[in-house]
Amino acid sequence: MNDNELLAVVGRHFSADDPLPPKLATTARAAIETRRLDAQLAALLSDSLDDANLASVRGSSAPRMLGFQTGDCTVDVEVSPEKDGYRLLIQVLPAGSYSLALDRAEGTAELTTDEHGMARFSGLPAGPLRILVQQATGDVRTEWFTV
Amino acid sequence: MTSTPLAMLVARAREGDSDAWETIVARYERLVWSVIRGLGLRHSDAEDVAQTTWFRLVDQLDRLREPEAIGSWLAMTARREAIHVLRRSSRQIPVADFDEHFGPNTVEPGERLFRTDEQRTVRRALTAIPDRCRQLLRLWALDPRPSYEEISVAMGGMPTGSIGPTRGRCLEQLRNELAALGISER
Repeated sequence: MNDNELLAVVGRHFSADDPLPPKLATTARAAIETRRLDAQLAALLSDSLDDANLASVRGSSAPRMLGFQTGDCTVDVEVSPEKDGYRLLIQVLPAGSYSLALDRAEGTAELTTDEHGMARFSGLPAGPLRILVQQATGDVRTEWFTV
Repeated sequence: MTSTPLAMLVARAREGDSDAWETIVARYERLVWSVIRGLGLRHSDAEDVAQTTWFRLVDQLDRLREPEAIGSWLAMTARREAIHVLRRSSRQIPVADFDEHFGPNTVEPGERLFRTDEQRTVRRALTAIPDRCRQLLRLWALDPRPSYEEISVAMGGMPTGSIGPTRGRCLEQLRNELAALGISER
């Protein structure tokens, strides 16, 4: 077998043994529907999973902290595992009452913050997530992350 | 599929053209999947990470400065997200379990005897070579074949100059394993 024949065997092996899941092919094609040009993108500025010191606690139940920002709006998210899925603690600044939407591949959940900009959510399944914040000055959307 | 330049596809996808988007997905979905699975994520986590990667690309369509680098961007994003999920869940698959975690053979019943035999042997040989070799060969065998730049990023920053020589050594190791298992020349 020359190199190309051998690589063809490798290619056939992985196509047969670990094929692209059909569901993923469908959701990837539908992803273009998630465009929200009307909302400001809040970039992920920090993720505790990037912290080398915390890498040593991998697998523990320590909450994961993520920080997003656009302009003077920040969205901080604490993700903790619970018995069935994940629990979220969200804080939007500047403090105030906001309507939020948790955007997932399967649909959207609506919630509101208290007057300090805090909101809690329980029983979140694993998967891609972003948070939409409705603001008087225009909506904000965080980058997607994987819960 | 490769006839339309990426820059044009990205420009059309920015306008919400779902055909252009689908062409981009079709070109890179195997690369994204292979990067993630090669890092050892279990199937359901890998699906989540791949989905996040595509969502992120949609988010970044308007900001991509180099549409030609979209494959490298996808490989890097997929890799980073996959590592996050590994750290989160500590669900990395030990190499010894490689066999069990790769799905059942999808073989037509009529082909079963011959194909399962060959597939089992190839799988055992691929399990026996180092992880990085298996991943490099998997990426190299993709259709369409990723660029050197894309493979470099997908392999966590392997210098492009060492991809060719490493590929050669890995093929040699795989050939030796196959020979040891009784598949030498067919």
